[in-house]
Amino acid sequence: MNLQKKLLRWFSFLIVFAAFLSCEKDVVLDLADKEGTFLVVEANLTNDGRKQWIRLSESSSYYERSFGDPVSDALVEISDGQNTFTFTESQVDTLTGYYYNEQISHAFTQTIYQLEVSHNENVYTAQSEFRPVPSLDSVTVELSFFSQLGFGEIDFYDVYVHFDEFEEEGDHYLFNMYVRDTLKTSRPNQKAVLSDETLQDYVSLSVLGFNEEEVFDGDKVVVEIRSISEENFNFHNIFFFQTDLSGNPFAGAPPANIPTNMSDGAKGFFQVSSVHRDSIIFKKPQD
Amino acid sequence: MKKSILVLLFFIGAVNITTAQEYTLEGTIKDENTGETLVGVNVFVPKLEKGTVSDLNGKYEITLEEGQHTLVYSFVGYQRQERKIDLTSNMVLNIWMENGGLRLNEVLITGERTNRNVENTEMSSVTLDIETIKRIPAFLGEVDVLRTIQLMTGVQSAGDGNTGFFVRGGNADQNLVLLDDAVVFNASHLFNFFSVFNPDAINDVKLYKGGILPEYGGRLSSVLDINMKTGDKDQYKVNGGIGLISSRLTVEGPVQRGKSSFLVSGRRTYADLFLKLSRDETQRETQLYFYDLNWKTNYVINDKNRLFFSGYFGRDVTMLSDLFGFDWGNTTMSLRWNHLFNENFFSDISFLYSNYQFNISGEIGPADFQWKSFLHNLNLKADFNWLPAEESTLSFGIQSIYHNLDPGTISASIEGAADTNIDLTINNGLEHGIYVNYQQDIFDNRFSFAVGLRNSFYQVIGPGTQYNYNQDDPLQWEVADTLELNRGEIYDRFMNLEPRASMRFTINEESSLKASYNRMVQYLQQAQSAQSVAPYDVWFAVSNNIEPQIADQLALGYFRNFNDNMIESSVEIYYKDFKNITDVIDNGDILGNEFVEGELRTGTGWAYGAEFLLQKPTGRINGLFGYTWSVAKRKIPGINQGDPYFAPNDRRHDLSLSGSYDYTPKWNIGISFVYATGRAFTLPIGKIYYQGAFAPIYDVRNANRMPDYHRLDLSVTYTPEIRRRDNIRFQSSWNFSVFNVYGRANPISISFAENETRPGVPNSSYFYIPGPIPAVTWNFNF
Repeated sequence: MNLQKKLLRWFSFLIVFAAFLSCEKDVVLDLADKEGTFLVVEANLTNDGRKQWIRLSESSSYYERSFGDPVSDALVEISDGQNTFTFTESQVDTLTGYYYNEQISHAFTQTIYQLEVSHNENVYTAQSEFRPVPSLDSVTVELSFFSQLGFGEIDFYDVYVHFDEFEEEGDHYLFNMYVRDTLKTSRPNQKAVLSDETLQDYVSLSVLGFNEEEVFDGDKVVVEIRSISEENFNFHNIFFFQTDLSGNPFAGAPPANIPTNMSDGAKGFFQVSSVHRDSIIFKKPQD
Repeated sequence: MKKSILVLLFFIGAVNITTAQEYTLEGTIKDENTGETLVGVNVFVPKLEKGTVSDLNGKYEITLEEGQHTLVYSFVGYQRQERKIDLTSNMVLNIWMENGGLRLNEVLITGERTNRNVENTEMSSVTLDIETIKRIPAFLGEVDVLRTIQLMTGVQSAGDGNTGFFVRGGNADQNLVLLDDAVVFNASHLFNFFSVFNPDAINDVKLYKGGILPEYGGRLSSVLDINMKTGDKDQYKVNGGIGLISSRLTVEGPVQRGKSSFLVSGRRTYADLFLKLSRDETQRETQLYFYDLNWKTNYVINDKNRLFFSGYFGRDVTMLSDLFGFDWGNTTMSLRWNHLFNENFFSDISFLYSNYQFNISGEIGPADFQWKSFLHNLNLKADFNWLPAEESTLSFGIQSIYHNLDPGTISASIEGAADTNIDLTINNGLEHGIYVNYQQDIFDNRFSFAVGLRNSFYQVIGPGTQYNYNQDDPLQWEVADTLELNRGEIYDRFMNLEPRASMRFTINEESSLKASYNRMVQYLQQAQSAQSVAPYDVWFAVSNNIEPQIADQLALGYFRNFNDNMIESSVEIYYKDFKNITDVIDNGDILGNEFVEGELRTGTGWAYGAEFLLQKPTGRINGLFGYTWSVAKRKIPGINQGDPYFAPNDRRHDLSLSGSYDYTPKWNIGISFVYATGRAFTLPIGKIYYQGAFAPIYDVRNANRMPDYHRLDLSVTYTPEIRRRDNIRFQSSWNFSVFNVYGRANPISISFAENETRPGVPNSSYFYIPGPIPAVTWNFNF
């Protein structure tokens, strides 16, 4: 977690104090929905050797209970300048709007990749640089400081990663956590992101966490580190500000669009990453 | 002339007959609100073209023939008064002069109202005395100067539970808030719920929205000049109050009877004291309180010299166990030497000091965090006032301010991460001002004008750091190179001429036309990080990247009194043009960012509006009705695709109604109602679904409005009869108030996020101050 994000988490304490004097109320506002929709591109690819996917969907009205109508019949291609990888739409009904490619994960090299999505006579593009990622030495779990203080009725645990950071500057990392082979940090605001500006040469840092109702004794906890661009690092931070801190009068940001690297008005993000994983078997401490 | 110095004192005094047909009229002239004697007040008999001026003790004396006379009492910054007398013997006529707007304590010797609303050359200003402010229903029973100011036309509240205010399309940081001439940089307590001004220590408040005198500079949109009370020079007095939120105690009295006095006033909240009773250890260790202390002394050295020394010290303390601590507060000091060269020429030499600081620290698990920020302001100024004739006044002065803005270093230490220190850019600067203002009444006071000029300078001095930005991408500036400023060396220089002018044409005794123009220049501004002004929003100065902000304002007004001046009305229209106004880019990173200038863009702005005011300042039933129609827009390259957009404080309609009714001598009823179009805001036009989460899509900045704001407050004050025991006079009163009587949920801020209790459902919600909130306060004095 970068410094500012942590800072804002601290400041969000202020809302606790403001709550002494204020209340929160759900409200449905009369929003002027813009005509038409935006293409939303979800393209986070890695070199983990698995089949890679890209999801295309449409934006929707704010209050509409929609996960974004899938976008079918698009031409989705990624090029490294020499090779072009075509993504094919799934034929499974429940996976409409998902486009797959099995080769690209094995073909990533340290270069620039360009995504091109053609749909309804519109062409949307984005670029992403594939960068290496350090290997995790180990993952450890410790009882959270909050739990030691007796906050709440359930215990929280901090997940630490330990790794050698690259000497070169300008690296950014994203962390995911899997428990029982299920991704627990699927949402952008649940993931942890770090900039090497705030890291020591050897990193031993708490980046993620869980509570005792999410992970049980003997569960395997896998932590994944991905290389990401500075733009993607900003994307995740701003996603956090615009969602988790939305409306916080003291720590939030004025409403604004989350940035994207997609062209021509499309939303979402295209990122190619190196990835490395390590795991630990969780042992609940004895009282 | 300095208003506080000019605190005029009119005495109407005893008269000694000098001849069989001539008698002496004498008296003392005092400020109606402060009781301070006023020096240099013109006393003039137009028919005889004869006059005099009050002396250093506020006394005047004039010999007139027996018979009926009309006397005119006038003084800069005060309401001109006329008195008709039938002089048949020596006579004492003490005069109490009002220093502006809304009046309130009717202690005039005659029951006749003056037509100051019509005859005063000033416009776009309002004066409130503290007794008026106390009659308006208060939030949680805490009488608040700034909340009362928000009821005035042309002044918009920053929101519920917020003492911040916007004047005629300006930002909150464009208001120059002065306490006995010293700048108050953050006028709020408890995250904006209350202002720092203890009502027991305040005498009067004057707000300039336009037509700002050249003696003031440094802010674009308004001057809020707050004067503290002067202690009583003759007797000791104690007053105080016990309320739901805080208790107050003020002691004043003579140091050397008749020559010097003191006033000390303090208050403290005590909500946190109740937390000590909690069973939860964390809550017991939680602190949430504020306190402040005001003091003022004055000393009459001799007939020609007086000294005033006043100050303020206040702190807010917020501490969540030992996990998180946040304290902030202001310190001000004002030392003023008032010197009378002769009856028509006097000066004020002032040394002023202001400090604002905050300290945030946290320790959560393996992470430590600390942020200390300071702001110092040293101000030396000299103001001179010369009254060459009854119809004219010349004032001039010079001012020099040293700004030391040290937003501090944010240091974070997290186990496993490198220690991070963010050195926020230090801004040191010298701000100078020199001004002159000339006011003249002509055509038998039918026409009056004032012309003035202020020349302001700003020098950026080291140490500090300057950044040059690569601005090729208008949406993202990158630091191209860095320049370290050497200590004491001057780097950038700015100079601006600020013309000011106002005029009044009296149509008849009941109506007049007024006009004013002023150019204001602002060299400091505040980086606002969230939807509400926060205590940790830092101030920064002009630099190689930030030009001084400039505002030109033109205002026209028609002023009309009715019913022998018992009812006053006015209509004002204004147009304001902003240059070099700044705003934050989309997702701008303002909080704790050493490259804050790279997150700002500069452009133009404009605001215009019309203000309608109807008020009955006196009588058993008194009050005001105000309505403002206004527009405020900006056009800034790099924001909103360079297209014009509404300023955050754009508000089309703003209506306020407040009144007071003396039902009986013991019972007073107060009422206040406000309605305003919702604040400009950016609402979503849709949403995306990405990696299992929703995020809103926004379109044009500030194109939408929050829900309309309206609120009704009521209060009842019961004042029992005065009790006397052992020659001590004891008076008390009970104030019962209800804030937000019908429980309107007025949004403070709006959140767009997934419903916490129903995952997958997009939601919007807002924070609001619940209502109704009853309160009771017991006040006393003896």
